[in-house]
Amino acid sequence: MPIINSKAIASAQGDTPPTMEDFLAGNEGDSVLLPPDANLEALAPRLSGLRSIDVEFPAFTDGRGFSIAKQLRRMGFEGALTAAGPLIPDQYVYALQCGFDQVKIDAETFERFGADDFTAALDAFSLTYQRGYIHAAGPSVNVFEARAAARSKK
Amino acid sequence: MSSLKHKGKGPQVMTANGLRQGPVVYMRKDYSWSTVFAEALQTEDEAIIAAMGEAAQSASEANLIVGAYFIDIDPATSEPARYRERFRMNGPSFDPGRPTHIEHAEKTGPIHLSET
Amino acid sequence: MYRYDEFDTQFVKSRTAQFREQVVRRLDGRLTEDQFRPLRLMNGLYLQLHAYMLRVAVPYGTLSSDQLRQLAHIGEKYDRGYGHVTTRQNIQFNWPELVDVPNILDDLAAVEMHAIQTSGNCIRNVTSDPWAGAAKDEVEDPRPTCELLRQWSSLHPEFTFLPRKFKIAVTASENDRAAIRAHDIGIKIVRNEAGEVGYHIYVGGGLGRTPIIAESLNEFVSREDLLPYLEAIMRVYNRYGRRDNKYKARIKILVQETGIKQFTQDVDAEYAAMTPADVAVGPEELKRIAAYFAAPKFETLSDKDEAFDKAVILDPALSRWTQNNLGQHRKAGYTIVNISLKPTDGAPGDITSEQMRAVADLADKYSFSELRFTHEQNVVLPHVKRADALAIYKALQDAGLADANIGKVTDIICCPGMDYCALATARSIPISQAIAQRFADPERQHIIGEMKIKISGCINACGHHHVGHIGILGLEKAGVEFYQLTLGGDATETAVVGDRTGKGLSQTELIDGIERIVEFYIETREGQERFLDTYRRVGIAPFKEVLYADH
Ligand code: SF4
Repeated sequence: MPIINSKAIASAQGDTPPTMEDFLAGNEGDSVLLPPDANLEALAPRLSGLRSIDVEFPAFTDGRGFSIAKQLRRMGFEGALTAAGPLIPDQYVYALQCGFDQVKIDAETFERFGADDFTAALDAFSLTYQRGYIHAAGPSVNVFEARAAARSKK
Repeated sequence: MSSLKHKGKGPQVMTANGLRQGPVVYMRKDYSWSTVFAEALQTEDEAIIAAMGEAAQSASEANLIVGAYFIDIDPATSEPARYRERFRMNGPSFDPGRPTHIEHAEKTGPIHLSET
Repeated sequence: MYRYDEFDTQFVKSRTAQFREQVVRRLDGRLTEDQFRPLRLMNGLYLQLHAYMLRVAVPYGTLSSDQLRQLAHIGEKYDRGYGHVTTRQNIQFNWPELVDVPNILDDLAAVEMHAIQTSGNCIRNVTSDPWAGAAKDEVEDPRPTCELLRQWSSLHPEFTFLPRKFKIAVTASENDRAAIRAHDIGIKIVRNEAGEVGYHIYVGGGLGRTPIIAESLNEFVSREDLLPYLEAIMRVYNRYGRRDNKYKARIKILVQETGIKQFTQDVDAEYAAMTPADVAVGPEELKRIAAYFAAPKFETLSDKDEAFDKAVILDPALSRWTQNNLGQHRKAGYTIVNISLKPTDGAPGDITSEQMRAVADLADKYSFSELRFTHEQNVVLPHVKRADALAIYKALQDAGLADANIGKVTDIICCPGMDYCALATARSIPISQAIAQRFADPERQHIIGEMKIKISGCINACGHHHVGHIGILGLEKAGVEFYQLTLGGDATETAVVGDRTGKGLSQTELIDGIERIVEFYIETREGQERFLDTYRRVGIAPFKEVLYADH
């Protein structure tokens, strides 16, 4: 499945990570695929051993994964975080803003838009109103912080 | 869009909205589209109905129309059987001197169902 | 009122450019309709029963005369010369073409307006008290808080694909004119014992299929904590709100199913896990926003105006208008003019481009260029000198806007229903017209007194029928419209969902039945009792009896 991140478009990545259930049942492995209703507390004790986490988006209209990313980052997860599902270009930016490193989309969605649409979406906005959601490759300026900076210059 | 099949009874008419301008449209017997219900092709012939479904499908894929579906026609009146569809055909019942679909179309020029 | 700074301007510009691009992608087929739908909805663009419909955001109902003139222009250039004021203080155009919408958004951006989040499963346009900044009973002007929420909720990366739409309302008065407890989150600005201003948060209200009055979640959230606290609520909802069933996806169902106690704990836990200071916006910024809402330069006036009082005595129509349409202003010598968009023969909430211009001119001349749209689908001139009321009344007569029926039986809230809406099960506009005609006599309206009739064309309840003193829901069976009645609903600080009377009625039965209900109320009321008071005293049974008397 095509992977898109803010640096480059990587092509298909080999294996799908084990499900959360399988991951928790074993005591090895450094990658996992979380369902959209994942119980993050159950994952917490194993978090430091994880190198990469995929979060499943069952449909592009289902935004649970955005909050999961936010919570995982807050829990201290620093590994690779991937949004896996049929996300559309505009959501790719949201995903990065919420803490994902990349999106892994199905071939059909990818083909319909093409890589250009995804990279172009990064340029749509340079501003965001929400604190804690800036991303260097997309909306890199928080409006409230920019205003505060302008005030302190005066 | 999945294939367009009708689940209804009796004569069928194909309807949709124009993608670019949004008006309610009906399929004519040459598979082109009209904003006038009276010009709509009404048929019970399954072969023609299947061809209408395909024509609507390709019109959707060609980005001319949006949301195509079949509607049931009441054979007694030759009008849409469902109450909602009669409203779509007639326009709002409250219309204080506002142009009807047709007058509006005359004012703004023809409905564009092509790429240009 | 608020003015965009360079950032706001750039943001809205980016948004319109983005939507222009999305329309191009839709027209050339790169976006399928399924993919385009949520994107167009998040720009307020619907495909309705007959055509596209564009809903323009009027943040918390406040707009300037120039903005209203631009809406008039848009109505004329791209639509059919009118707009429709909605129950969420927005305005919608019923006939735009998809190819024109990017241009309309440009025209809106030119006057600091947009259509962001007037639809879709995101945080919708925040609503508020239409008398904000003018009302005598408010703790403070609620609009700086609303504006902060508008900015914070705009294209929120995390909360734009929620289980369902999300509505927030803010009031700062004991008298709730914003129906806050019918909202997903209701915010009441309060002052605590220490004299600090903060927020009483209600959660889980909403109408629709399962009408529920919001419950109290937190009695005092400090100013700085508002955004972090709301973020905690939103995150709990985004993660755990139901997504398996559209009709159970609103936060009210989550609150009901979890129980308010557990839900409170979940929100508190989420709040405890975050660093509020990283989310909050500092006092300097709150001050910056609030400064835009500083009171206009009022003159020192007396409430006495002999010329006006004399004119009122001489003209019964003017006297009625004064009584019904003027609200109490916090400054002596000033008044709040409520302009009715409820003529006997029109569609509730419709306003023509010509009328928009007339009202904009009045705002320039008499009300510091400021206007409001109300959730009851009327227009307000918030800051008018009493001495100017007579001139305004005359100008409104010329514009066909002098109906003196605010708060009366013909001041009906009514959704577009089957005449325009793709989701409708029955028409609502003809019902409101039939009621308005039946009770057209102003003397009779006066005798009846305060009466809130609310009509929805389907179970989605955009017409707020559950909280109408008399609520009407349009349904359909086998191609015939029929109407279900609720009685005793209330959208104010004493909010309650009305009681269903029973069997549905045809249009004729309905109008006759309502008339009998009203007559029964007049015979039964004691002293100064409003309809609602009498209903609460005697209960539904006798009303049901008269309603179904001819069955
Ligand atoms: S209540 Fe129903 S008919 Fe009325 S506007 Fe809402 S969705 Fe449409």
